[in-house]
Amino acid sequence: MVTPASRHLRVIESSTALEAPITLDAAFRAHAGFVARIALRVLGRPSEVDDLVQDVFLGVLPRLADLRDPQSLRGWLAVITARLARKRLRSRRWKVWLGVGSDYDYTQLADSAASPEDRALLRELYRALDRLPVQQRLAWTLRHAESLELTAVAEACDCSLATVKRWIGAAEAALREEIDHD
Amino acid sequence: MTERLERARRLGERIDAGWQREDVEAQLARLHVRQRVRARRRVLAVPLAIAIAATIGVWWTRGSTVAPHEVARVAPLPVAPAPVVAPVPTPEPPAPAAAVAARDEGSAVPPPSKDNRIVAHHASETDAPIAAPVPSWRDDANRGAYAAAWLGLVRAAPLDRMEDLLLAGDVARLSGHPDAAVAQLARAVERHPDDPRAPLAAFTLGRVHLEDLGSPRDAAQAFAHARALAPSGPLAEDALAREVEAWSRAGETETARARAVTYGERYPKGRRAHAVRRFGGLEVP
Repeated sequence: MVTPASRHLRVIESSTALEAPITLDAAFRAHAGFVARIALRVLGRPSEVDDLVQDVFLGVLPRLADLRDPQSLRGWLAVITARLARKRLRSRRWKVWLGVGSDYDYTQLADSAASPEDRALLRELYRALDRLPVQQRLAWTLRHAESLELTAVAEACDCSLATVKRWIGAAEAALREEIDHD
Repeated sequence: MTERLERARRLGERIDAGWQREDVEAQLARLHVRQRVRARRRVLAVPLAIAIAATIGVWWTRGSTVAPHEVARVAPLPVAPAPVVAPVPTPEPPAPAAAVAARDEGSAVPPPSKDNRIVAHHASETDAPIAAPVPSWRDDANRGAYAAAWLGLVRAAPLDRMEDLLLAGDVARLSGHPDAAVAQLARAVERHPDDPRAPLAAFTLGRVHLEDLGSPRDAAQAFAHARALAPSGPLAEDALAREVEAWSRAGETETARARAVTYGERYPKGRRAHAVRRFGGLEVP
């Protein structure tokens, strides 16, 4: 089956810019911060970020030697990060359903310069995101917090452009409902 | 998008994991450990799969007279001697031989035997426990369950390998036992000073002293050691910067200033130049 990821890989592999194979260490040093940032924005919980970053790089490791174009690596990592984050969000949803999920204080997400109002607003946003369906949450976060292009969001979410637009619209409507109570 | 939601979105855009180079290096070391663990598991997977298949085969040939929980104790592979045949009820060739041959060839499921007595007898001669995979503190640590890993670690024998000591340091630190982390990391540096990961161990030791234990003097010495182990390594700049910070926090302003000057000379455009100048007292507030 041709998945968006395999298409992506083929593009990478067919690149004519044949450079030296990218090593795990080099890829990690160059992109771990980027992956961690996406992971944190999507998951909203710093305690889960380290493991996700590790999983992403362990996941790409077997294909890393096939890559020749370092520019493509970043996009590929973003896709894999989004997919693994989606798995974690689903598992979190199951835990909540089974009554073993824990509540999380999202005020820690804000940077040190943020005002108490901003912290409260960010917490409100992530709590609202927790209540959204996982696909909608992922699509909205990648589009609006990570500022990915719609095509990249669609690829990360494994769906068509029309579907991803619909999910983002639905997420936005729900968030507006939850957050704009003033 | 409404104003309030737009503001929330902008706040979301400002979220950053804020990984510094030292965090990346620490995570990279952990990644290497996990990579090795995975490789080991992959090597073990094939014999384990054969053992499970052979066990199922034995259970199948023993028929319903034997409970499954008994079968789990039957040694699967090293079965060479021919069965000692007691009363063979039929003249046809004994089915267990086929079963044994199939097992010797690694066949997943040998054909069922018509004479369960012979197989049962044979199996009873070779009864031996299979080493069941017991999750170790390393497994717990590698899947991020540091509290569980800590419980296993305190019962484990003293460690000696560098990767074990680093992982144990992580487990102790992340499960809220910084004193134990210091012991593991100090041992790592002491036992393996020539290992390429020794500077990372020393650097992490400094962080634990500074951030978890509030011992800036010990932290400064650990950062200095990290630098000494690899003066031009990837952690040298960060180690020097953190050393300035640690000396400053320890109240050793002169030493902090001297190190800050050294930092300025070695890394005039260093990423931590601003913080170093501040901690070294080179910057007028």
